[in-house]
Amino acid sequence: MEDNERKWKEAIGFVTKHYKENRFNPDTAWKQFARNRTLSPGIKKQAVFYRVAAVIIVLLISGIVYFSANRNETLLASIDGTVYLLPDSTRAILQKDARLEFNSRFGETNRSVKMRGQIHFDVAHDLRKPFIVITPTATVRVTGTSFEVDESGNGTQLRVTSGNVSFTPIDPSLSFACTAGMSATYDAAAKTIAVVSPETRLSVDAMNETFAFENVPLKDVADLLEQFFSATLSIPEEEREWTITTTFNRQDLHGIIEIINLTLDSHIRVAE
Amino acid sequence: MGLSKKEFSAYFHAYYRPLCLHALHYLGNTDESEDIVQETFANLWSKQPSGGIQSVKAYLFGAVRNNCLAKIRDAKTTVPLEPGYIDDSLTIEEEQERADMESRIWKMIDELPERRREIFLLAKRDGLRYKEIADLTGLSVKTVESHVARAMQQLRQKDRGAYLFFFA
Repeated sequence: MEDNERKWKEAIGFVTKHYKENRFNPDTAWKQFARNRTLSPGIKKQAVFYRVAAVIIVLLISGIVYFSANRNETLLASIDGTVYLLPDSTRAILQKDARLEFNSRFGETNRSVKMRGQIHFDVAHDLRKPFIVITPTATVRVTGTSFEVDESGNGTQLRVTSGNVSFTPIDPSLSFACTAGMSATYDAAAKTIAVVSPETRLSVDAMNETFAFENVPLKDVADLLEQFFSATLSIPEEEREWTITTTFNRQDLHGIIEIINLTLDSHIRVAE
Repeated sequence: MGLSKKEFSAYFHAYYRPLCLHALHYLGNTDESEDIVQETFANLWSKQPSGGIQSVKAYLFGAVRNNCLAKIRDAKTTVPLEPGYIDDSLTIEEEQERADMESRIWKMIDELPERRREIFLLAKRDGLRYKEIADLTGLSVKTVESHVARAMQQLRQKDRGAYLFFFA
């Protein structure tokens, strides 16, 4: 296993050293390959002719093609309820003064959009390509669902109507899984996050290192602590749905775990 | 019997990235690596051996290796090779396994959230310290640390299944 671990580390080192975004992509490469070559053995001469012609045409229009390749599309709304259909059939409903921007390569490897203002999304299902909404203060990631994002200069709020949505504020960078009926609110100035469902409430004050839980299942508490402290926790399966209501203020991880275990007689462990 | 267009496309999609990484070990340049791999596939298509190929994967890996060595001999590489860049101690099978693993890692980095990927690469590729990344991005050091740790965690977890399958 040590040898395998060494191989894995070497592989990580090699890949990260040379990694470039959107390179070595077989889908993109295949399109270029198939376009540039006639895929019919036995008609080489014709293939050469078409290849030369294609090169000439490419040279003639290459300036226009290069210019348009990475052009951004911008959608605006002068009135509430302006509806747009994105290239992947996702429906976006913009409120007045909202703005939605995406690259002309949207949908190739992922579905990434940038937004300001208030927008409701009905995202077309595509498990292979997550739909990613980026605001100046948070990132929202889904595969197919209905939700609303409200971005102001002060932060970002998410409200989920259906499906599963991952919400990640910019700082602290903690990811929260939100399902139907839940909301997540991030205040960028105070660096506070609140995630609310009909039965639970979880809030984080990163500047004061305070966690407040109201009726939150231990599995969600553990997920938050793992992210915040970059640790790995183990919880017995039968205890994962136990809930806790308490507040921790400037406690270290072991202190928090000890208090939870004493309070609930649970057996959460920090993996060494 | 030669490959049909459908079969050829399947091989292209399956082996393109691993072959690019295989070439990258020889050439150290992503552009040249992709060129070599595309040329190799083009040669395979236009000059399909009449007797068929027993293992397309082994054929492609061997052909890419030979094309890279020819390019190095012709001294057309734009980046000087680092000493010991080419590891002669690996067998063809080991080179293929390594390329498969690297391909999975490359794809997993592609799939990281944009912000996390950006910070992960600043730390692991560009060698910036967490404090430098924090100053550059306006984030706290702790957040930067968390991004890098989470990225490594995601890469490990996603690759664990394949890792154990291939190497356990």
